[in-house]
Amino acid sequence: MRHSVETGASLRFAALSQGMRAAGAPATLVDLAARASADEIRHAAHCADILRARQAEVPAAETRLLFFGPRDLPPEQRLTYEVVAQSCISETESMATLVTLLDAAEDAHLRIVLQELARDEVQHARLGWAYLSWAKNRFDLSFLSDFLPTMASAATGADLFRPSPPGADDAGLLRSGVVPKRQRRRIYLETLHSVVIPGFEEYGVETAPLRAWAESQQKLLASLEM
Amino acid sequence: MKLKRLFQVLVLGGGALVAATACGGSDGTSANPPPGNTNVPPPHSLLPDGGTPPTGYQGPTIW
Repeated sequence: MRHSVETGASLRFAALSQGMRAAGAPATLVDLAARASADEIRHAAHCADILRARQAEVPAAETRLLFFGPRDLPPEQRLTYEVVAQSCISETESMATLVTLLDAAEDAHLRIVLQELARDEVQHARLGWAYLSWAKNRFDLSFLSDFLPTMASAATGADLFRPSPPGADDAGLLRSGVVPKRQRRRIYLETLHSVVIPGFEEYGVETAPLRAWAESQQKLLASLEM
Repeated sequence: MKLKRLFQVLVLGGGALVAATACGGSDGTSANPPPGNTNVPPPHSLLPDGGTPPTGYQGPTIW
């Protein structure tokens, strides 16, 4: 699945780069997004290599350009929605997971790959916060607030806050580059509280709806772990 | 978990990128204007529709 997530992100970053250029964003941001698109293709190739080494099937690359937000938003809001959902939420949350994996990785090859991914993902996440820093003085960002819970929920997919199937919480998974589901839920919420929410507040985006969503997921987490 | 460090590197680091751009010679309003007249408003659509369903794609996208 990771393979198609990476190829999908590549298509999205390429489109975001063009959108930012058209909106008059600084060249640094336009270039960062274009580079992120190329990075994601390389990441997909790493995923494919790892799958082949484990005699697993390599899934087909994502060929659809999929955006997160509603299509009927005004152009600047739509661009902002997609940058925020991709970089401020997904890539920022992914960084926290990669840091956890890096701490646990014992296999030398896996460690090298994870280091490369983390180096790239830092830039992919920064892109979103840099965009907000630029956009906050140009566009009205107040529309974002009510959408943040939807973005946060979409990033995890429908599965993360559902009961774990057998084996998904096995602590041994960490060494092979997979964060056990139980730990993934905690990392997700901790990162939301300590990085993502304060990040939005840093750039003047109201976070009450996102805080309420995080609170509800925290209760769900408690019930799952009873 | 080094979350405080992540906040500094990602959130504040992102803001610093734009600040550095603004200090690098432009007025900070747009270092990369669209081609042609810079006063032209952004085009009707900044992003293509692609294969996105009308209500948006529902992930997942994180590791």
